[in-house]
Amino acid sequence: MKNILLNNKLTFVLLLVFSFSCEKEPCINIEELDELSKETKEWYTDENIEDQTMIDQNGVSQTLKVFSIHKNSSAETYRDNCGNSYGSFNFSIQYQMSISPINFDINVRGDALPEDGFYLELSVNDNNNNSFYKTTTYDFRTKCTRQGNAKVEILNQYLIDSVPYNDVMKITFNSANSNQVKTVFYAKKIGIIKFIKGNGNEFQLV
Amino acid sequence: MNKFFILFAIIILNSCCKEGIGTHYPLSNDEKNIVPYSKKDSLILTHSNGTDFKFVIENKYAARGGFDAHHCGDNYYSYDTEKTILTSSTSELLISLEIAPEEIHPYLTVTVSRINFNIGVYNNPDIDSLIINGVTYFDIYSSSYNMDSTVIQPKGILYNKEKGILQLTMSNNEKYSIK
Repeated sequence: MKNILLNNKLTFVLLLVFSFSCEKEPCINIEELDELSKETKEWYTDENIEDQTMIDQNGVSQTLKVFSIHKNSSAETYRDNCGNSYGSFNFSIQYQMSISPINFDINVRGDALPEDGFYLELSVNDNNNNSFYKTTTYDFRTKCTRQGNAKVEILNQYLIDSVPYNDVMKITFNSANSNQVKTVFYAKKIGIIKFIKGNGNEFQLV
Repeated sequence: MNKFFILFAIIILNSCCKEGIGTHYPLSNDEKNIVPYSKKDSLILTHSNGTDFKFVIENKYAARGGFDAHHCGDNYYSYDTEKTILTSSTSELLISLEIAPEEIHPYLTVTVSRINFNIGVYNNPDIDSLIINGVTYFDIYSSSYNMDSTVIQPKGILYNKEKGILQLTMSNNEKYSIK
């Protein structure tokens, strides 16, 4: 009898502890997620994007090669306690310069998971003798880079030799030595259109 | 028991194999002199658009290559190589040269922005003489990289043992010539 009473009390206490310790997760805001998804996906490049020629300030040409391009999405990767669910999506494009020892990776991703979110991630790999890799992640919700290591401006239009490029993301790393990439210009649908090294040399689409 | 022990000992002794023969191939001074650059030297290559690019011999160092024995009794060998790295603060080209003993690799390998040129420096030169930027060069070796691609990349090289790289040609016919 005593044991039964003790067990019941224990169960009651445990129930009380669990009910107060469990935080209620907020319900996901589908409307907000749809807005963020739409905004993020606009930064995909066209699927049939091809290699393009770039020229630098010394008048030297090289090819901005599209090394690989991937796109996928998953339905219902996140469910909340309110009966809502949301999927995720990912787009990535890798570039390699044909003469400069530089690779670029762009990842555009959206996920309802708060720790993931909606972002464009730029990674630059300088494959010279002093290999250097840096990355920055622009968050479409906060409008800032998560690492705080670069400044991002969204430009309505950017001109290259009088050719207008609309909706251009200009990403400038806070620090870069003379041989490293300092600034990258990335346009919706088109991809990388220009980059600038720390020594001021500018490489842009022809 | 003794017979068993003796038999066991005979089996063990016969299973130990003889070590293979190891050979080392050093780099001779003549082979090293095929690359005429020393550390801190500089070289100016003029682009076909008139821009001068200064390259510095940033590093020159010895390395070792070889083939290890994978099985008991296998022969193995090692060899010396010498690698030279050229860099420029203004040009995007990344250039390296590597020489190995003739018995191992009868070429000088020049790598220009990920493209390897194997130059047959132990054969007779390909070109007797050529004038580049008003200067006559002799005993010139040439090597080309054949590609079926629209990508702009290094396509050909001219080299001599006295001066080193004389000219680089890109697939879009842009050239870098010794000044």
